[in-house]
Amino acid sequence: MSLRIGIDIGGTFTDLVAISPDGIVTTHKTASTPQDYGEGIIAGLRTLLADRAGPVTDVLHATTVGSNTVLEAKGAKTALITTRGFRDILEIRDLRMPVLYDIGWTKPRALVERRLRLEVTEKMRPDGSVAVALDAASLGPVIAMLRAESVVSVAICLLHSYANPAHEHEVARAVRAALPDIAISVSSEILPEIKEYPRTSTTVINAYVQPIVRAYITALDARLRELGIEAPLQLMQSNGGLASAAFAAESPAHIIESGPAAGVVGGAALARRLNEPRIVTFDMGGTTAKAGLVEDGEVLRAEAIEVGGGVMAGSRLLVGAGYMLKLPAIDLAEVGAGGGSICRLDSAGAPKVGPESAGAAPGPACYGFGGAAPTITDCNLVLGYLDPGGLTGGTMRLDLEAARAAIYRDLAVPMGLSVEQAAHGMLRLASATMMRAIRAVSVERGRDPRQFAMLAFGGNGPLFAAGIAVELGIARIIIPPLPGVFSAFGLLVADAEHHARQSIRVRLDLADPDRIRRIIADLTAAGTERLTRDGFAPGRQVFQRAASVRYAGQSSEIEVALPDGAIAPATIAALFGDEHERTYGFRAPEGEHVELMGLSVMARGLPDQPRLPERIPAFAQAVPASRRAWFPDEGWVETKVTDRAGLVGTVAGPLIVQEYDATCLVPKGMAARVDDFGNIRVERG
Amino acid sequence: MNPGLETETKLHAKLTMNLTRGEIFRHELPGAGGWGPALDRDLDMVARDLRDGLVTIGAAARDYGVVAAGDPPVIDVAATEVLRARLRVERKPLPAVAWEPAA
Repeated sequence: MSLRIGIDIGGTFTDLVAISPDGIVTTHKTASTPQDYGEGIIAGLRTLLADRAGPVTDVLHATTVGSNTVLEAKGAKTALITTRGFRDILEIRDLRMPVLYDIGWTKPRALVERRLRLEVTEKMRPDGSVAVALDAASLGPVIAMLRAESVVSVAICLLHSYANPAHEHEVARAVRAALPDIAISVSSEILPEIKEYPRTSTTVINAYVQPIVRAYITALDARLRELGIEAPLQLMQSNGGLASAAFAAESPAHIIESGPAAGVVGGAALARRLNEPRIVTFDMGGTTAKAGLVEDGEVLRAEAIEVGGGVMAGSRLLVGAGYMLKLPAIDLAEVGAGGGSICRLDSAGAPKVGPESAGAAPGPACYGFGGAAPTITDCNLVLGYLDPGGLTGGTMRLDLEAARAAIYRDLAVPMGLSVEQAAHGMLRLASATMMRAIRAVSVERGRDPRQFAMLAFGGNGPLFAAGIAVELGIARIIIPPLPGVFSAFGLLVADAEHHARQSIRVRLDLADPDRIRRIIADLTAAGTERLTRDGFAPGRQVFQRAASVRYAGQSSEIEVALPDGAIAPATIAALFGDEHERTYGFRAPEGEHVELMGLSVMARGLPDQPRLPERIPAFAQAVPASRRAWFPDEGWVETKVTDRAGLVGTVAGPLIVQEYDATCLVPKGMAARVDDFGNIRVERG
Repeated sequence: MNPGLETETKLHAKLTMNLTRGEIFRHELPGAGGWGPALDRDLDMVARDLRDGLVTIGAAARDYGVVAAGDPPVIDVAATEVLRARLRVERKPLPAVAWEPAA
């Protein structure tokens, strides 16, 4: 039986899921190996394939290698070649800062140091005509500097290159001729769009991570072949679509937020299957928690994301904290709270959770890997929510006494509380942090979380879901099958997806309808070519078109979905008016000029058969009938424990549903049942 | 206004004006004030400013008493010690600033 395999790397665990055409699912969870993530993947694959022999047809992978490279400032030695006068654009940015009145705030350091931000004499006009011809003599010192400083990767971003890339291509040719080994990222290929700061920043991020991502992908690919796997490696992009390994290695800017995207994609597939119109996804792993939104089966997208700014801020309203990446991505809010988050008292004695994480090594105190600090997982263990018998079906032992000792020493004694009170307080604090992430994608986007159902997954999501849902007024919680490896599972249901964009700038009342039609046709052709290369037959390709539009004189655009078929400029203007009204609550009166700033086409390849099996069988598991768990109002309570298969009918809380990869806590006042698809439903009961 | 051209003029600190195509408006801002004696500035920080091209070799010697040469500039630590010792003697002591509550 052939196998499709999804591999998701988290800060703490690497998750693997294999599925065969008959719907049989096999999973495996193994500790991540941050020194060389490929090692953990291969170790996990060996174990998985020992259980399930069969030819592998797909290897789908979500990785944090891109974002980690930026976060840890471990990118390649990178230079920037730009138009004379523009070398400081990475410092000037867009003049935004996330905290207005904090004089202690430090801007993230530019990914290219000033010495390696090099200028050439040239200038294009916005209409693509040449204002200053490229001066070949100005290239000499640039190439000499690249050579003298042993630069590994170079970003080429010249003014108005989206309108005419000729100068960028000429510079790229000259650099390649002089230094054939250097990696080159050209802005008119990465992001052919107006506005030089987002374009430069995006191209520089691509250049900065490209050698690292390419090495990672090449090494992983080679190891897969050593295992005898011939299936092509595909990677999850930040936008939730899959891309080939070759594309990802060339344009890693598209896979920077690959890691958290897969879970939301899985959430969207499940929402379609369950006919749930509004879902907020809540994904809590070992290091961070992420929230996303699915409406009418589609994920909520952002036009741009900030790399490195999100973990602490967790807010859509604050920008400027990280590095701008102007590429379509799934809109996610992420906060530094996970099972491995360290609980401590700060110097003023106030309790704090995260964002520091004990990760997989040294790990929580109860892992016995040398971690001494108490973590969220230790708190869950001492309160009886986690099984002292161990995680992953008992294969991962937990040391209850070590957890109690760490919490007693670091938290309970200094605060004058019992171990249970201290542990529970830390869990509430973590919940408050995670609620910020959910608010960021809902309230800050004009959505009321009370109208949403929560889809909770990740190794720790089901433990916290009920508590958070109650505080946010969310009435219904869905815990999918295999919650702990649901992100890896999301990879298996993702579609291939490619985005193509073209900047233009034209008033819609003056626009030539033929030109608009031509641009859409060209973008569609580009998508067709990529999908065909990915192996999708013409009947399995779908295209979604959009326009970015603004009122003349506005400085930012909004994205307007366009219907299929021929489209008149006046229709685009009318659709824009509707969207403007929905987003901002008003529209300009008739006669206000409307500007078309860009057109985009999203090309999606649909698989031949539905990728989700009808129902994923729950693994039967030996669990104790009950154990003592601590709740703030009742103290220690003998609490019923079951596995998912043993959950028959509607069972009132308090209840613990214990599975191989996650544990679900149903508090008093709520009740749980299993629905027709195998999901656990937790509702007020 | 229009630096380097025949029409170059100095502008007032506060004004409202119209610019036409091709005219140049240049606004020069001073760098921020420092903290503590310039001659005590950490050599690594001066080295970074030199490497970034934010401080010239001449200014490094004049303001910070740092001797450097080459491209990228490399600091000569021994010569810097000598220059800083000399400048410490030559420079007048820093004026003492006493902050008093407003009357």
